[in-house]
Formats: sequence, C-alpha cells, structure tokens
Amino acid sequence: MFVAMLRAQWVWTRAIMLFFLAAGFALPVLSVPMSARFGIGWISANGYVEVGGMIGLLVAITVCLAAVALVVQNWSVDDRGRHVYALSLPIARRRYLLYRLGGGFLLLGMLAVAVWLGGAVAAGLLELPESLHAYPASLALRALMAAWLVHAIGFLVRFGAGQRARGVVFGALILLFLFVLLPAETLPAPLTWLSLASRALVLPGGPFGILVSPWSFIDV
Amino acid sequence: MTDAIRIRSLTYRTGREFALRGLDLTVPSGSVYGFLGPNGSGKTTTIKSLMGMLPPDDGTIDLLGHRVPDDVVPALARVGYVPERLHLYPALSVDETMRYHAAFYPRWDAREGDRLKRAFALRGDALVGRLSKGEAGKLMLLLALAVRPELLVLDEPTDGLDPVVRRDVLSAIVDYVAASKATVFISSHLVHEQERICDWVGLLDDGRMVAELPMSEFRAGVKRLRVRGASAPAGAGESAGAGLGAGAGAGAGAGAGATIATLPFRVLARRTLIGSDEEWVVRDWRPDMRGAFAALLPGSTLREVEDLDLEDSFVELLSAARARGQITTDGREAA
Repeated sequence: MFVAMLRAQWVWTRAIMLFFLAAGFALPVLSVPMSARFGIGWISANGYVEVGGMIGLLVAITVCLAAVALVVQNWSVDDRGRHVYALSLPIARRRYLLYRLGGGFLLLGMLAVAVWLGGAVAAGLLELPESLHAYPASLALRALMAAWLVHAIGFLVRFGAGQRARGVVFGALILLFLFVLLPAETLPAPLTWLSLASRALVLPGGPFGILVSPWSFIDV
Repeated sequence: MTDAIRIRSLTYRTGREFALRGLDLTVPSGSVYGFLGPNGSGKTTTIKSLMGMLPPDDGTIDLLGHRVPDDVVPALARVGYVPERLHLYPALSVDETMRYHAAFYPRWDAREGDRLKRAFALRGDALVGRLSKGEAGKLMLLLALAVRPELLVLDEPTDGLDPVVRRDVLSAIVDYVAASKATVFISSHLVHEQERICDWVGLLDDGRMVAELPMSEFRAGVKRLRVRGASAPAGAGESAGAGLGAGAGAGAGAGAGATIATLPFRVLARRTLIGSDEEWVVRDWRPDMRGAFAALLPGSTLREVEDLDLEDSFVELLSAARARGQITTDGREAA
C-alpha cells in the first residue's frame, strides 16, 4: 500500500521534484565557479565563507519551497476529487495520512541526497584555504531536517482543513517570527513574554531552530 | 436473508438545513436496489454517509454487517463504489490507476481488470485526466468490479453517458451480478434504466423515503383508473377519501359506507375529468379488483385500468407524498 502511494505521489509531483532535485544538486556545485576568483590564501577565507553562507541560504530556501510545493501538490490532487477517492478506499484515515506524510518525507529525503551529492562534488572541486572546510553532509542533514519540519507543518495546516484554521495557524506563525525580530525590551510588558517565548522556539534546540541556525556550506 | 445495507433513522444536516431526515432504508443481500429520487433529494448524501464519508448526526448505518462510520474499513474492502463524478487522480494513467487501486483491495482480480480494460477498449497508457466522460465512467466501473465486491454502490453511474456507453456499463453490471450474486445499490434519476435491472426500489424525496418496495409490486401495483360516479371532493391521498363515505370500518368489499381508507388499494392521486369521471392513481392494485369494483364502491363504475410505467409511477408517488406533506418509510401512508 505504502509503495503504491509513494509511486503515485512521485508521479504527480515528479515535475516539481525533478526541478528541486536539480536545484538541490546544482546549488552547492555553484560554489565552485563562485569562489574561482578567490585564491587559497588566508585573506580570501572570508570570501569563501560568504559564498558558503549564500549557498547555504539558497539551499535552505530551496528545500523549504520544495516542502511547501510537495504539500500543496499532494493535497490538491485529492482536493480536485473532493477527497472522495481517498475516503472510499478501505484504509483507516490515520494510516492513509501517515503514509502520505511518510511518502512526502521520503521524497524530501531524495532532495537531501541531491544536496549531499552536489555538496560532495563541490567539496571535491573546491580548493579551500587550510583553515576552511566544506560540509556537504551537514548541509544535507540540515536540508533534510528543515524540509521535514516545513512539510510536517504544512501537512498539519492543510489537514486542519478549514480556511479559518489555516488562517489562524499562518497568522500565529507570522506573529511568532515578528516577535522574534522585535527586541523584547521595546515591547510593552504584557508582550515581553511573547517575544521571549518566540525566541525560545527558534533558538538552537528549539523546534524551529533548524530554520534560523547558520547554514554555511563552507566554514572553519 | 441478511441485509447488505441497513439504515435506520439517518439524519444528516448541512448547516441548518436537513439533507436527510430520519431515513430508513433496507437493501436485502443479493438484490439489485434502485435508489430513485429527483435531483437534490439526498441520494448522494445517503451514499456518502453509507461509505463513511459523512458522519451521521443521528441514526445508524450497517454496511455488510459493519457499523458505519466506526467500523467502515473492513466493509469498504468488500464494496465496489462508483461515485457521481470522476474522483480518480488525473495525473495517473489507466494502468497506474489500476495498480494503485489494486494495492488497497485484497480481493483485486488482475485478470478481470485486464479483461474489462479490453472489453471497455481502454488504453493502459492513457492519462485519467484526458479520458472522455464515457471512458472515465468505464474506468470507474472497471475498478469497482475488479475488486470482486459483494456489494456494488453506484451513484448515477450512467448519468451523462451516451446510449452505447450506457449499454456497455449496464451490461457489465448485469453480467457481474449474474455471475457473482452480488448486491447492487444503484442510485439514479433515470427511471427507465432502473426498471430494466432492479428488483427493489426505494424512492427518496427531500431527504425522506417515500416508498420502498419490490420492483414487481411497484410495476404491477400502481395503476391509473378512470372511475365514473364516485362523486367526492377532489384531492389526493386521504383527503380524496373524505367524501366517499362517512364513517370507517366497512372493510374491503364492504359496499355501502365504504371509504377510500377501507379499500384494498390506496388512492394516491385523484383528478376530476369531464362530467362525473375521475382519474385515480392507485397503489396495491390487483387484477381481481376490477370485477369487484362496483361492489367495493357502490354507485361507481370502473371504466378503464391503465398500466403506469415506472417513471409515471415514480412521479405519481412523489406528487402524492408532496401533496400530503407526509412521507413514509415503507411505502405505507403516514397516519
């Protein structure tokens, strides 16, 4: 059952997935031509780190977009038929949802593999100063975690069905990140705790920490 | 004999409106049950409730012995379902759709699936989203039949199909039922089509069951009579009987003093024609009543008995129920 569902998911998301797989592979490789102008002296280390950070940021954006696109595409195929087919199949709804979610995770796993492969190729081609290293595995792992997190949130929001529920969740997420950006001391006292709580969520180790922690492909 | 479907007092609301109002429905195992009703009467809502898609606000549903929606999954594995509209994934091909569907049904018969694909002239590599309406209808039926169901639930399976495709679809259903003795629950507003294949019929209107009875009884028992001399205020149902005689209890064949309520058949509708002639639409008519009519209603003459086809019977039953504002669950008039 799961294999059939995964295969079907691949069929209706493959155009999107192939695009993101190509992007996931190509972005780390891009670091090679981008850093070609730097030498290998220690003075140019900052340039490499900047390129690595930019690549990391682009990878982060790419995997998050891929996760959202996957959720949207996965649900829209059932939306078109008003979910009649899914609901008429002899499978418990919880199991069906888990399989769908699991299928999404596996497809995003492919994306993480593409990032890792691209990163490995780039790491092989880059001539870095001695103090710097490329981190393809770490970048791929971050990509995987972030993609899964975004996919899971998107899935949950989408499963939450009602447009009002979706609006509330999206609104809450926007407020959350807004309060992360606003300094706690500038807020009125009743809102200070909200800012602190928001920051706790995005701190390393917090549930959203993966999204805001450094994504550098090249680092010391 | 057990019942394949048993619905009792099913109520479902969409917002503040009632979509189903205390619906009772029984489909005997092995029967071909025609579920008739005008557009918007609640047929699809009933079927969606039956398939566990809409949790009832009240009442109970038993599908192949399983309570719906709590225990619907094992029942669904034994049901072949064709919904009103195409519900399949448009990005999958016919073959991919068959493989996908097969993964959920332990009773899937791959050989039968391939046979039906050839019989319906469906191309395996054709995308579902690009199939014509007729091809999509055939594919949905193929999927429903290849799971070797004990119960086929068909929601307007031939609606909008051309006559050739319609005939193919109906033939496939009839062949399957003949071979498997499966139960069929088929919803449609195409009354003539139901007449050909069904042995039970249920009439739904405004979310309530108007009548539920064997097709033979329906087909043979609903007649249009032309009666002379039965002077009474015109009307339908029990109001039609009001002027025919005072008092009650004369019983069938009682002669003087008989009322419509005591007749051995039921008057569904009554219209005044020219002079003292009237046209009655009646239920539960038997051929032997013709000779005894004058004795049943002294002073009246039965001039003509006309057979009604299912469509006319359907319209008359609905009209009578609407005129009374009372709908019954077993075909009996509400008290």
